[in-house]
Amino acid sequence: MKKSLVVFLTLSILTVSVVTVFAEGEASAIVIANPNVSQDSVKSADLAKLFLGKNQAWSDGQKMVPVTLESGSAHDSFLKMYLKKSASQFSTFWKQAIFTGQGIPPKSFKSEAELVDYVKKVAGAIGYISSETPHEGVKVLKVE
Amino acid sequence: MKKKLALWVWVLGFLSFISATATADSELVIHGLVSQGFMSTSDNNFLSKSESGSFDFNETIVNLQKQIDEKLRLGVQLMSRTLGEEGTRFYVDWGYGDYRLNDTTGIRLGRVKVPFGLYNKYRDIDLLRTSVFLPTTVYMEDYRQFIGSFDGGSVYGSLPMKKGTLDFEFVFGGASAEEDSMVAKDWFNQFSAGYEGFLNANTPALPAGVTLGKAAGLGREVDAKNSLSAQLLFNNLVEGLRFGATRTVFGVDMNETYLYQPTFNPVTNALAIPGFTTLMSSESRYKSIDVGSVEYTRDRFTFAAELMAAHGQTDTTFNSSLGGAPVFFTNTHTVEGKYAMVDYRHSDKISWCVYRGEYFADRSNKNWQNWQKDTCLSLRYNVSADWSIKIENHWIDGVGLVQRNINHGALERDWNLLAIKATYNF
Repeated sequence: MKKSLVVFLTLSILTVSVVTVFAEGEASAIVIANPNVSQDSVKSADLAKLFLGKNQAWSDGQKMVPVTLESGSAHDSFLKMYLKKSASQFSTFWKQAIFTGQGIPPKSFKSEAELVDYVKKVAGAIGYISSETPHEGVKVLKVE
Repeated sequence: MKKKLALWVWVLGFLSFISATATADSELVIHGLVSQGFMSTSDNNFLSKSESGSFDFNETIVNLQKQIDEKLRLGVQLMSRTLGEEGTRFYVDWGYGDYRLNDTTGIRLGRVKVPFGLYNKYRDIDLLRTSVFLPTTVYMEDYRQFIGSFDGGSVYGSLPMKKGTLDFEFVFGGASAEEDSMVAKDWFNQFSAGYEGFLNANTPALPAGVTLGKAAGLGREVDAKNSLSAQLLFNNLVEGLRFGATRTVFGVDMNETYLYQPTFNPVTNALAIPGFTTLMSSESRYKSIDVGSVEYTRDRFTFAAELMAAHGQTDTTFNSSLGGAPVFFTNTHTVEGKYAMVDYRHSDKISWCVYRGEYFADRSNKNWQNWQKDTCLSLRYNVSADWSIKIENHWIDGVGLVQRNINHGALERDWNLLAIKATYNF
């Protein structure tokens, strides 16, 4: 009993001692959509539902196609601002959905340029990038 | 064997359909995970030969899903699991077509996960929680196969309320039980033990010093009866709070034919009767397994508590080839389990959790042989978004959840379980 307690505590302390928590800066994110989308704005609550797997449609009935970034400050900022989740919580939410068969996460991109290119081409697409990233050919939506 | 063949034919058909319906804008999404664990106990073998330390504790999962159109999604999760004496099993964890009727309701057909309590649906996916083991005092390993998933279907949904939602799910079908699982073997052993006692006490032809024992099992079948599970969960009446209840009803028929032969008295070397066979037919019926659940998440803390009560009856009949009246045993019992847990996410890298659980194999017969009281402390470290390492220790009083068929000596009342697990997911 004592032996396993000592092993457990020693390994726990070793694990904790090698951990460093990095503070990450955050940049503001803008929400972009395919240029054929007729709306100029989107509700914050609808964004949360959409990116957490609830089917949503644009006002003209067209299906909304959400896309995400895999990581980065715009990703962290968007999730925190509109979904009230950290990147880790968002990832855990979708892993839970995947492995219990309850849903498929939105398509994700490594770079903001790839995401912009996809949103430009795909009808109904909606995503987010940092405000500094070039975004010609897509529509910037106001979030209410 | 027939069941396994039918299952793999179904899986191949399912995968063929998924690939045949490939279109440019509906991709096949593939995910998976690989985990390797280690468990060690100070006394008593638990799930494995854990007294000497066991690495027979791993899972591999491949998950395939595809959105066919706006309403229909197909998916299957294939799993390989090694757990101690059970060995390695390959099986379909779940696989179904999911059709959304509208924004709030959908149906699923195929092999569907059972919504038992808050966490049963992802009990195999340890990357989704801090601890290695869910509290076994409610999420009992003995019932895992019977309430993991049903072959049938479900109706599910989420109804918006003034505040939050009311989530519901009704699952119907038969449990995906297998003859060679550790649980089935343990149950068969328990059922036949009483019969052997009866035989040795009531067979007049037995000379002194000669006993009857099982020489071989000649065939075994496990057939699940129609089962049902229903869950109602209130979500976010207060932000971060969810609570509700689940009722599961299931039954299983288990049949095994044994060859019994006398064990000779080494002194007299006498043989009074020839060997004979006995067919054991057992029907276990759980008219209700109820779970009440509550979970509250605030900032970095999650608090959870669940209470489970299972009312079961097992009727077992033994028909011997020697003739005579069948021997009949019946057993009714109420299993009770509960736990309370606190989980703290220190950062995206580190979380810890502590829980205390209590289990009683028979509520009317409380002693340490029948109870298991477990205090667990777990620590999880996420090496990266894909890698996690966990370590936990359990301080345990009682052996109510210890498998008797892998413990041949005397059991110890106070014992420890140390579990370590590394998981990679993609």
